[in-house]
Amino acid sequence: MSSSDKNTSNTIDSNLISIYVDGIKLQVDRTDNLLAGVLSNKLNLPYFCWHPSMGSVGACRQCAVTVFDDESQTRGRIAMACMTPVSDGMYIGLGDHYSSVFREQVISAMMTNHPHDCPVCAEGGECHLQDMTVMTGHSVREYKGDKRTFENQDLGPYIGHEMNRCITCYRCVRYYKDYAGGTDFGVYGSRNKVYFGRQQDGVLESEFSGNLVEVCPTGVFTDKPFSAHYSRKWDLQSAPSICQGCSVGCNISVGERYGSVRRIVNRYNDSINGYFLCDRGRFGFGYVNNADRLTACKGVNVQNDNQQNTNVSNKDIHISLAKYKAEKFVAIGSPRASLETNTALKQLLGKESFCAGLTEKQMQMLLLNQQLVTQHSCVDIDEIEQADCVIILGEDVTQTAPRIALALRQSVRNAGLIIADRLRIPRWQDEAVRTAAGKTLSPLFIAQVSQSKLDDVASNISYSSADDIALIAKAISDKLTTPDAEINFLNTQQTNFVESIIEALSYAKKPLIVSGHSLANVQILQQCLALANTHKDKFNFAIMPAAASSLGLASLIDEHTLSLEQVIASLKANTSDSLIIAENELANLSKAQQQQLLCDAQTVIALDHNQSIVSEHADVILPVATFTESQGLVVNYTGNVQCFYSALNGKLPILPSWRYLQMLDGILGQGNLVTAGDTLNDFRASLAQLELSFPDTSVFLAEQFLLKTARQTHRSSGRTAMMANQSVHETKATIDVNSNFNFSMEGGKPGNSSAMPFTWAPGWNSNQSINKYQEHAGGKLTKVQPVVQIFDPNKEQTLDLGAFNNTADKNDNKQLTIYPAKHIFANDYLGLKTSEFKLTALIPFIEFTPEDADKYQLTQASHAQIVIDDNEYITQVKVNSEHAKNCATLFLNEQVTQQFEYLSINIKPATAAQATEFEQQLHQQVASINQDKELQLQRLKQQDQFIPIRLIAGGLDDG
Amino acid sequence: MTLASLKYQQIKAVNIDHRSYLSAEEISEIEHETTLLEYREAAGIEALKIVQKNRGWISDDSLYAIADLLQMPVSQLEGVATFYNLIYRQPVGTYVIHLCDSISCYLTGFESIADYLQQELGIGFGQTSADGLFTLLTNACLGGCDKAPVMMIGENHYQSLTTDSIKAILAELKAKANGSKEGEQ
Amino acid sequence: MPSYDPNAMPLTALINLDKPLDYQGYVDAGGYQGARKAILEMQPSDVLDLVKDSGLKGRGGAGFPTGMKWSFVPMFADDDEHKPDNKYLVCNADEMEPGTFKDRYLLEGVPHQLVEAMIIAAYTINANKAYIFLRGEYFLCAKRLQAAIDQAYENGWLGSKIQGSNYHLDLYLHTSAGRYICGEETALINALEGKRANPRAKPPFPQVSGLFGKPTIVNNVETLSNLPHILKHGADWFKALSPDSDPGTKIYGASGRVKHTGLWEMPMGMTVREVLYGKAGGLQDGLKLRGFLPGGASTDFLTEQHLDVPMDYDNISKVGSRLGTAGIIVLDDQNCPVGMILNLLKFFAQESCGYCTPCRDGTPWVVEILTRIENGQGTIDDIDTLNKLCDFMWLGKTHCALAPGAVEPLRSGLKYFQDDFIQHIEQGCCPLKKDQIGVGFKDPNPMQESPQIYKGFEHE
Ligand SMILES: Cc1cc2nc3c(=O)[nH]c(=O)nc-3n(C[C@H](O)[C@H](O)[C@H](O)COP(=O)(O)O)c2cc1C
Ligand code: SF4
Ligand code: FES
Repeated sequence: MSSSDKNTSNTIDSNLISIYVDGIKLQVDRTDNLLAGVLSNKLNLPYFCWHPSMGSVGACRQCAVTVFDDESQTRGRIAMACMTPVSDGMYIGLGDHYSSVFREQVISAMMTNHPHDCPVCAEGGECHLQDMTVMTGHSVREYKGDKRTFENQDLGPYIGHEMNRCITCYRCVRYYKDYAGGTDFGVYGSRNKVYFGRQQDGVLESEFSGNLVEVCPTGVFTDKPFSAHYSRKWDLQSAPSICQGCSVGCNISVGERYGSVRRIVNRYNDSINGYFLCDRGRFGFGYVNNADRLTACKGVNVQNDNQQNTNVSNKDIHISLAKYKAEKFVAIGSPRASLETNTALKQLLGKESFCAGLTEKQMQMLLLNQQLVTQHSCVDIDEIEQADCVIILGEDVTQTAPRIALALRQSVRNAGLIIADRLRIPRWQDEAVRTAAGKTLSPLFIAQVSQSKLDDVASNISYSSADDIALIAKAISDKLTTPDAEINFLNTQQTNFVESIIEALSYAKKPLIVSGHSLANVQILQQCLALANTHKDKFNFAIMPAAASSLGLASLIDEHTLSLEQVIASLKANTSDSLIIAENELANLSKAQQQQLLCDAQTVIALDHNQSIVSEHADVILPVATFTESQGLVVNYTGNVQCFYSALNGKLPILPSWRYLQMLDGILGQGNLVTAGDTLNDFRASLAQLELSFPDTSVFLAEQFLLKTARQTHRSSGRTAMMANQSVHETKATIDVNSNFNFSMEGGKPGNSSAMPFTWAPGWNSNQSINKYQEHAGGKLTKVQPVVQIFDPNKEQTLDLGAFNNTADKNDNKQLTIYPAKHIFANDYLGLKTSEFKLTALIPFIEFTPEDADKYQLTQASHAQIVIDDNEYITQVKVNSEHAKNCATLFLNEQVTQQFEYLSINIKPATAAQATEFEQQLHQQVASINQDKELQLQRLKQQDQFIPIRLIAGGLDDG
Repeated sequence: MTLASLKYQQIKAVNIDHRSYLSAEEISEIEHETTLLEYREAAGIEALKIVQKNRGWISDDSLYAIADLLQMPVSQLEGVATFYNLIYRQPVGTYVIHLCDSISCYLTGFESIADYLQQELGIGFGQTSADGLFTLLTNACLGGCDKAPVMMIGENHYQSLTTDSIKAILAELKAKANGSKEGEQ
Repeated sequence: MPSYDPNAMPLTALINLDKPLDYQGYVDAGGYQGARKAILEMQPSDVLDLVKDSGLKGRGGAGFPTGMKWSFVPMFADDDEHKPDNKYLVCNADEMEPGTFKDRYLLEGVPHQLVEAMIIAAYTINANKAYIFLRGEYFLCAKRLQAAIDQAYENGWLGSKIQGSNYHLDLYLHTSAGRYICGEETALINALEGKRANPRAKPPFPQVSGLFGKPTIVNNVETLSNLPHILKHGADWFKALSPDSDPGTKIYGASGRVKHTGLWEMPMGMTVREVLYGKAGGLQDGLKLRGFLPGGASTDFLTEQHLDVPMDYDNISKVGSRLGTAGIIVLDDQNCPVGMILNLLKFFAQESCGYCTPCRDGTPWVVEILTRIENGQGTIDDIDTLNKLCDFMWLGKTHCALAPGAVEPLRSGLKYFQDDFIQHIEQGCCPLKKDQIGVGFKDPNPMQESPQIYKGFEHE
């Protein structure tokens, strides 16, 4: 190769250099290690311990290549690609005998202790170890000795443990401990008896434990609920989807078989969730398979004129609901319903009769949030991870938007990374970087009511009430404007806290403010907005609304939109009579308010998928699809509109909400929707006509007219065994007119679509195949996902927020301000429909400082009796000086409200009898939850024998 | 606390407060070690050795207490404790015999010494004698290759071992143990 | 025999194993003069130049030039904002290489010499904290070292303002808790940080990012012990100690069934014969020499034909082995080479830290095969597999040098004692244990593996 040759090619991108692999010239990024460089060029180089998000440690020795001294390529030495920086013009052997033999030997050595139990292994068929074994060509066993065996641990309801399968790549502990900051997991022993697990049996404490399943390249850590009702990856039908657990909107892939959802895995998206999900997102789909599901219409007479079809028909619904025509309805939406559903609700009866399903205060907060996102934008995890000074104002993100907490954990490493840079340690050399960094962390400040899981990396914490947190934000703003401003509205600790923030900000180049809705405090958001306005472009923001669709709902709110309080009032005043409530369990209302609303309504028409207080009161129930059975849009905290797709069709009469709303429009509505078209695409187009803020979703369809992508894995035989237990004849696949995906194994390969139903590439059956679809290992996807923003930053905010400014909480008259504790598994009622979540959500407790506990004669580990309005609860008592004064944090299983409004509260020590009964009940609960779990499994396994086959994923009469 | 963790309560000694578990001397000795190194947890090995010296071995409770004192996760301390072979994570006898099984001892009669020890004590390697006096272990090269075979009991190295010398050593230790027992009564 | 004055051997001249010199005794014998000269009369860079000039090479096994190693430590101006808040000197006293016991001799016999040496080394690299990393089993060394350190503090050789200078140094003794891998310098650093002693990847080298991420020098006891003498007598004197070879002296050892086992300090470059026959008196009566490991367990076998090779770094390398620690282990004709190699490999399998695959799974695999061969259950294919495993664990393929070290006796054993392996396989037993056939087979190494008392995560 002449030198002029090299020069010309290098001018394209200054960051790219050339290396020669088996004589072929490749372009690689100069900051990369050789492994990342080779994989980025889509070559097959096996590896185990390296992970694009976690860097290299050189433990497994699988990624060996030959590094030649010169271009004659005769003399070379083995080097671990993952530990070797690339250099311009280097010569590498990948297919050469020397390194190939070594790579095969690595596998054969690992296999000396591997149990070869692939048939019973939940990783089978998507196992990185299997893939790499085949890739290296190791296929004959030479080892003749015994294998070492380990005892496995019970790690709780989520993660199965089979240590004998371990190949000691150290990925699990590096992920759990180093990356996710978990403390209850480690590595023990040494030599060929290295053990990964907890110190003793017990539930894994990290909110991110589920990623172990995907991080482990073999079957040591497996998805327990999935294993219990197992299917091979190649027998799953999968769909690209969006997590509904919180407002982050992580990309997921939902796997289904025989009508039940089996599992959720991560779907790579470099700016939202990268490689990792939280446990809420991975395990929180229990409500989809629940016995609690609403599966039949209520209040609808089936005419049954057609003997064949016992299903409800369109006509049945028309006839049955006609009688409500005269009533004056209000349509209530919800922050968890899709954008289509909420928009349709607004159009159904007109904007004057639309309630967003929020309380007054929630609406205020949401609008403030919307204004902040519109004018200043919120940043994605990529930006969050680069923040060099983080201020958290009152939002316990580990519990309310967990993926953000995981990103924040990476951000605090930035100061350490700079030390490593100075020592010229490449950032991918993980262990060396961590060593050089030592305990140096970038500043993270947390103002919060009670302790959080990020405290261990915080540089300063202020335990303050929500109102005080707002004042802290104000003080920061004041101080930034006038450095020697006198702050007289904070106590000494808080003032010092602010001082240290100001100090840190003076060094920071990318400061980030994190806040959210969970303290239900309007002022905090007001102050965030003020900070953004006063100090333009100084801060990045990540403000977390409550639910998957909150910001979508916000875009629909206008000056006519009713609050729930207004609906209650209007029912009382008879300005309206009846309610259509879609996917809203009204958990943001107190019990008394719920009763008022539902009892005062003449007719309640409920569209939902699970039972709730609303369905209990409903005269008409229209069973709707969950996110796994339907397609729709949600809007995440940055205003990004994302589309989730159905993994299967609901069994009739289960339909997506929008189809029932369309029908209702024909009976009770204004008639705008009936004609909106038969497919979701047409329907969306119509909504965009009707509602100005409705985004242009045509980009999601761009791929539609090319080859549709298969939801099932390909089989070259052209046949599938999926339905073989019912019929060996190939059943006709359901036609999906709404998406670019087929309910079939036929169609484009997964990478055909930017939203991949599942990841797979030839020779790469595991999730690690994703690197074949990335521009660069660990980077952006080659097929860019369309980004649609709900808010047009150029559009003027029409709403006047001034009106809300004086409605701040006034807690002065209450002795104690109570904040509901947030918990990843128990933030909403759908969460607690998953058995595992019931088991791992917190036990009811009330927590306060020793001084406050004293006021109620309560001591650590005692029990309290709490009477809220007329309802009595028993809880455990936690006394903790690390808690805001004059505040209590309360967790009640029943009360999963987002806001906690009450008229009276009374706290006193529980009697001995009450305490005993409480503890006994806990044990009974465990037994009954486990029993439910068992029954559920039995039911689903029975259901596997009767697969619902639908020809078209259309409406009721499309069968 | 979660419902699921109720199940594990019996086996898990959640947090042992070092103040109630470790002796004042142990605490001050460990505290001293922490001042010699940059981080508290760097004193983990020293702390384990200090407690083991007093208590013979490292029980789960000791492990929890040390982790509490050093403000480090138990999992991390366990990772350290199980890495080093001079930390005993199971009960051992009064005297732990570390017989060198490395090359120089191997070449000079380790086998017959090993046989003899097992016979005399009636136990195999890794076991503790019924009277609770002796635990028999092997050890990598004890650095007494010029006077092989070698073993270490407590802080003493015994060199140029023969069956006779072992007999005498065991007898002496037994007598010492019995003597101290009588002393207690 | 080349002439040298056995009484003028610097490292061991003051050794007294029964009662080492206390501070006063050591000073009276000329001690602390080197350190005094360094601190009071020389700049750190002068000392560095002197050590470079002396040609001193590391005695820990790898033989890396000491002065060069030190020169990699970044030096900072006092007002440099990137100046690390600390640098460290660590003495590697983890001696656990089977067949090696020289450091113990120095530590028990003349502890002040090491303390003085560490003051000199720490001063040179501008470290204010130094540690002696001592293996846990060396209780007597610990006692004597601690006493020496205490006396050095009392006499103004440690602490602040050493001997009235502006230099301050704290020296601490850390005792370990077993494991051979702790002797590998980066594993040692991890151990000192209270972590699991897995080696670290290099680069970055400890000189740049070592203990607690700060610049760190790790040197062997014997290496360091040369310093007071080099300071006192100069580089030329040091070079003159050993004509025609690496400079300085070396403490040679011999173990196995020789007449006189022991240690002898001699000029670098003595022949094997001079050590083995001149000092150790040859093999015990009735035994014949079959081979020997020249420098501890992780060096290649040499045989009778190599008796006249000078024992220095280059010459031993030339004949396919390594000087290592210069502790010669002798294999006689009444010991089975297969059994010996099995014992060695058991040691390495046992002491593998478990981090990288070739070593973690390769060494036990070798043990499995060798056990079968020794028991008479081997096949010819096994020899092939063993050779492949030697390749598999060789330099560059593992994370640290432990596994390549394990390969050395194995591959050379396969070469020199090939017939023995074949006899085991063909005769179905160890030729030396023929008498035991039919009596019930006796495992030559009673333990499958050394039991360790740790809580079993593993299956009982
Ligand atoms: C597995 C292994 C064990 C080692 N053990 C020791 C040891 O016990 N003592 C020692 O001084 N060096 C030991 N070394 C060598 C050290 O890594 C390092 O090279 C040495 O301490 C440097 O000191 P020197 O430059 O003074 O020789 C070992 C190396 C390896 C790979
Ligand atoms: S070669 Fe052995 S001792 Fe060294 S890192 Fe690998 S496993 Fe550990
Ligand atoms: S991936 Fe490179 S050594 Fe494991």
